[in-house]
Amino acid sequence: MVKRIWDFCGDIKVNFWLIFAISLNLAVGAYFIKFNPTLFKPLNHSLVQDWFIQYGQHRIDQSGWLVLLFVLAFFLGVNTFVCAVKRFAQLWPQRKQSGFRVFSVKISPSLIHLCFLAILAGHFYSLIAIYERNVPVHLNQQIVLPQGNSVEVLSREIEHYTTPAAFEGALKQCSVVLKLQSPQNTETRELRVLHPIYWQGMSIHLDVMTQKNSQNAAASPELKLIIKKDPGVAVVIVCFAALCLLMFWYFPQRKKT
Amino acid sequence: MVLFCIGFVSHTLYQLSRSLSLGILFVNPVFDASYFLPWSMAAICLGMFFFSKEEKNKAIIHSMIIPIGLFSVLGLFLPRGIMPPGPQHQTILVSVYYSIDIIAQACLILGGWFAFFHLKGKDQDKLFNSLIAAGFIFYSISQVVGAYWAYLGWSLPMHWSTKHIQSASVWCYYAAVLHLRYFPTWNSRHESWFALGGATLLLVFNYSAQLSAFSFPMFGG
Repeated sequence: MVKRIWDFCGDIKVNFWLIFAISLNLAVGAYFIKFNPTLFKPLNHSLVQDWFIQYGQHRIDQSGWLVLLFVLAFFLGVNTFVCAVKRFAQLWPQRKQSGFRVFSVKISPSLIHLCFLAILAGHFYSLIAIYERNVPVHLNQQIVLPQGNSVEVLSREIEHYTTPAAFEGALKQCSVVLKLQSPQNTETRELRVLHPIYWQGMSIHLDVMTQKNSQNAAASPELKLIIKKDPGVAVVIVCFAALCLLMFWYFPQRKKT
Repeated sequence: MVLFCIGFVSHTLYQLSRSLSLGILFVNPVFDASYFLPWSMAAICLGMFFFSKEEKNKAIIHSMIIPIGLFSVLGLFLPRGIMPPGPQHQTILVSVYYSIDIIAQACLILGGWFAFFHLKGKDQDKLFNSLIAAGFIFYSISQVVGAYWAYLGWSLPMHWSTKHIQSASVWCYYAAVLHLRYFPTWNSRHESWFALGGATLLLVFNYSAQLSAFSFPMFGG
């Protein structure tokens, strides 16, 4: 019985149909998001369970695809893990006979699958365990954070294009100077859009809200500090990069071996 | 083919002129999908033409002029102005993301084109498989670059937005297609149908969002 369940979980056909079902589910979900942006926008800055209690459960006709996505992703994770382990167990004893290059090519899909599992886990961890504060920027405002930390906005600067003539007056860059206080020390650092500050295990981002399709209308844009602790994001990006490198190496090699 | 090469060189010069049209070097407009997609398809076509050793594949490679022409004409109806890059676009990641993403799309669309010929019994070397594998790798790289850019600019590697979810859908679809070869009972014709389906999915996602930007080209005043 256990062996049958194990074999079913590691079946490549199950894998294919799960990924295919997720793809279709996402395609449908994209249109739900398109036509209900106000329902899904808060999901970007809140824990998925909080969002579901506050919004999702009341609009299950609109959010049902998201529940299904989590169910399918869970089964895909289990299937991918079993497939990778089965292949590893099958190939490992052959490593000496096949030689390093052939073995490394054969083992690459399993490594790619393990990277994919780590990406899934990282995403899930980010969705359920992130700490995030969104604070509009006001000068001299003190933002109190957990563990005795605090942030104070000392100054802000808005830069507009002066050249070329076609861009003149449009918003170019925004920055703020922050006083970062922890129980141990105090420091002053500049924060710019696209250049987050990493401090006390948190990242601080500067977000700028401009009117869509109208850069010139943003003469005095609204700035927002995003302070977050997201341990999943590093796993997602590093493992996705590793997955790409492995594929970049594996696919050309596959033809040769 | 000589005419095609002249067209490609002209298109390359046009792309370069977009980067210099403001009097300063500004690379973002080079990678606008309306114009860079047909250019990428043409570059792939030329690469395949010069590196393909099989004479029987040349006819299919020659036929690539049809989708390239189609997307070039479509570019006329989807004009793109040059927008000043806002604070969240002041990074090289923007150009890297768009360029790789569009090259991936070109590979995947042409994969669909070759799959069509495979179904007609012509692409016996299954070149569509290589195009899809290359497209998937480029698409994955663009996704990771895009995720890093989104994280730096908006603090999130993936937004719950239509564009990001559609990208994830396309990525999953092609991941599924790449697993088809391990089905003992399925053959390359099944793979071809899925490759055609993937190209359709990509086009629907890309162009359904751009319908509002569709306009007839105007020449002169």
